[in-house]
Amino acid sequence: MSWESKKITQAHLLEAEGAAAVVSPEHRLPDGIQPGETMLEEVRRNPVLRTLVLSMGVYIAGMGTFEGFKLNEYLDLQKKKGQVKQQMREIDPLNRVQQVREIYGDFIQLDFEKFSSLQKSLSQTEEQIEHFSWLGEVRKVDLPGKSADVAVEKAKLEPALEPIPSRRLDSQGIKIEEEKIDTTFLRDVIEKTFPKNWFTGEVSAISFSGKTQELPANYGIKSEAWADFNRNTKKVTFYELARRQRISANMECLAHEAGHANDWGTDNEASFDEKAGLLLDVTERLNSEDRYQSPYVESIKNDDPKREKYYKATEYWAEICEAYFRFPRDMNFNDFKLVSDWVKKNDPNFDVEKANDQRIAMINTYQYANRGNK
Amino acid sequence: MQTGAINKEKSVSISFRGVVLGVVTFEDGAVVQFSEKADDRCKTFVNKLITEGVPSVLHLHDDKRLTAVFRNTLPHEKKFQFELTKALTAGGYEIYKDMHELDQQIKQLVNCLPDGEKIKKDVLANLSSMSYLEKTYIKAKLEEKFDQFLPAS
Repeated sequence: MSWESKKITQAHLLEAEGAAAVVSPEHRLPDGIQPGETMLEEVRRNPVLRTLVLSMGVYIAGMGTFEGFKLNEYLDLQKKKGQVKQQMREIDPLNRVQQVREIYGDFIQLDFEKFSSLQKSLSQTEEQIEHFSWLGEVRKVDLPGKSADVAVEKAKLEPALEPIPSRRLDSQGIKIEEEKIDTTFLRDVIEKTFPKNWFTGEVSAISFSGKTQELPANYGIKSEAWADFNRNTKKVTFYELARRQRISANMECLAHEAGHANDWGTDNEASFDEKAGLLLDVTERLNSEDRYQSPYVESIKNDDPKREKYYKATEYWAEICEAYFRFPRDMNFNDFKLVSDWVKKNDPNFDVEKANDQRIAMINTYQYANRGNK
Repeated sequence: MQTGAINKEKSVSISFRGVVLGVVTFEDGAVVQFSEKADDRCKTFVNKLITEGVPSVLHLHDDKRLTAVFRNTLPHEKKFQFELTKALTAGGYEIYKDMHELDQQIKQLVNCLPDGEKIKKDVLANLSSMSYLEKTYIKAKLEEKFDQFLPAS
């Protein structure tokens, strides 16, 4: 509109200079505009223009307020993202989860409830920020509530026990006799010869299923299952094959399974940082030249190299746990220290050699006492 | 039994309360020979294992479940040495392996210490009777000690 004001001024100049008594057609003012009238005056005078300008003003003010709210929400999201990140840093100060993911990929679902909840919240917030549009609707953010901030306290439940049918040699060491590991004996061995909370709160049940558990064809091994450990239910189940194993062999198998119940994926008493740290420490041992070279661990194969490595780490841990509860003096110190430190976190006075000797003595006494009863 | 490095030793000797009862010789982990001494019980036990195989456990994985499977490791398999020594240890026998390489590494580290150091004398005097755990502990501690004096790479 300023060019019109300029034309008016030029017309005035021409008039003032007296160069022409009549204003040429191209310099004539538009209809309805008086010479010397500004646009503001024109808007004031013209009811149509006045209504239009007022409506535009109201619209701009409304939009400004609306966008102001959205900006506020956007800033809130950024703030909340910062808070969630801060909480994650407190739980995982060394960013171990990142290291774990670099080695093993994303398939590992570490069962660390609080951290998982924070991760979910962070990705949700980031997604909202990423899709934040000045024209779009801002969705509400579900931030971790109190339930995520409060550590879930697992009940320290004693495992439910069932007798495990086994076998033993007769007093001459020739004939195989049927025997069973009864629940009183099993509870005694668990309480007296394993660290505190190695079973309590970690294993929900030790049971026997009379089924012969054939292995699914996709395993590629024609064999039957001896026992299994279910990570979800935390239950150890022995199968029919256990009936043909000696008591000591079934107890060794149980010690191995208990190692799985106390690893980074299932241990209920370790912090996120400790669990991720254990997995990284085991990974380091797995890559060491003087590692515990269990042929079984070395033979694990999987099409996905990261999954293969993870399964190896899982079995490496269970194998060194088993070695710790069977022949600790024959372990490499670095492996021994890994298990020992983990055990002593909850049971600082645990004496492994004494406990192992006691377990062997208890098994022998149990077999001997039961022979006498027959 | 030394569980740190497998299939490196050519033979393991089986003892009970310090008395040598037999020697098993291996080649690449598989058994080649068992030279028994006078003990019949040990002879029967080892012969049974090297004929029928050693009962061993392996685990099969899926994302939710770990299944223990039983199988016999047979004498011609590379992992037989590992499983046999494990079974003999579990059977209460003492297994001695030659830890020559590890001993040399420890001696090399210990010899870097000044002659007056008590630890040097102790380690050299007791090295032969130390368990694998003790030897690897000494080695780790000596390496730690020397790392303090070495410039960071």
